[in-house]
Amino acid sequence: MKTIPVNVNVLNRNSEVAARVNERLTAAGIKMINLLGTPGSGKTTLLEAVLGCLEVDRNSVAVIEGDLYTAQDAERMEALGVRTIQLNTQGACHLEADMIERALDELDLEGVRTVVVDNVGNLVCTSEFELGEHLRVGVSSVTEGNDKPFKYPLMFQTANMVLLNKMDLLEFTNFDTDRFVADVHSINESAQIVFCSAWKRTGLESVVSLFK
Amino acid sequence: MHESVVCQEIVDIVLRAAEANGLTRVDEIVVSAGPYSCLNEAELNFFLLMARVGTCMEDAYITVERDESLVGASQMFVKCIRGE
Repeated sequence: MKTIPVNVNVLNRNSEVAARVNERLTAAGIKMINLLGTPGSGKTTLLEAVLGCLEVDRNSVAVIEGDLYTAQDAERMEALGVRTIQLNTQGACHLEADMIERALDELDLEGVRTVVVDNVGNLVCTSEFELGEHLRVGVSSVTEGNDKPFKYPLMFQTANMVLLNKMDLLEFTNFDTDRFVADVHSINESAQIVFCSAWKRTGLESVVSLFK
Repeated sequence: MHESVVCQEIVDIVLRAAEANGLTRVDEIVVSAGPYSCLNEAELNFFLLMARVGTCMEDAYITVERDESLVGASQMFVKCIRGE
């Protein structure tokens, strides 16, 4: 029996496409944000809140919506007048870089400075697939409970910014914000943690600044 | 949850490595996975039952070794293959 060393990244093909996407967007002066989080954490509501701000030029933003079956999220973006493309994974739990590459081919990127990928709601697989993004923003919410950073560490480890959403509901829960900050920083000490309420449109300044 | 995709990628990587190194039969595939990698050995081997049909790895199995030093989004590597 022979042992042959291989040492090849299993997701190499995805990573190669992701690198190509990143290079293409960087050359065009476009920043891509990969928005991750559980179903119901408020990713799309956050986008509505931020893109609804007067300070954000909606013509400079394009959104790639990821969902298993429906076009509901794309319809919400289109209602705001934002360029949108809906990707339906037909049951698959995450987006892959080649889907993003094809979506970029279809989108009119004239005047666009920021592309947001509103990923499939999932804390597990979405984190493992690089899409070519410049920035990862993870959305968590107080109603999900304090155990999520340790239960799903990869999203928290790979996010540049972690939003703690639904702060308006904090008083109705037993959520411990100090513990959340300590837990996230124990996994990823450089993560910027932001407390906000997308629904009440509070605490969104640092997210809005990503679009300027 | 994404073991089918991962398994297909592993099979493609192994087929290329086997051919490049003149292996006609692969018996074992060793995968290194980081501590936060969401990879389940039993599920991978379940998908391998289908993905290996008609290849040089008809009787192969996948062993997942945890490697604490692997960090970042992509924490899975085909470390080595064993065969003849």
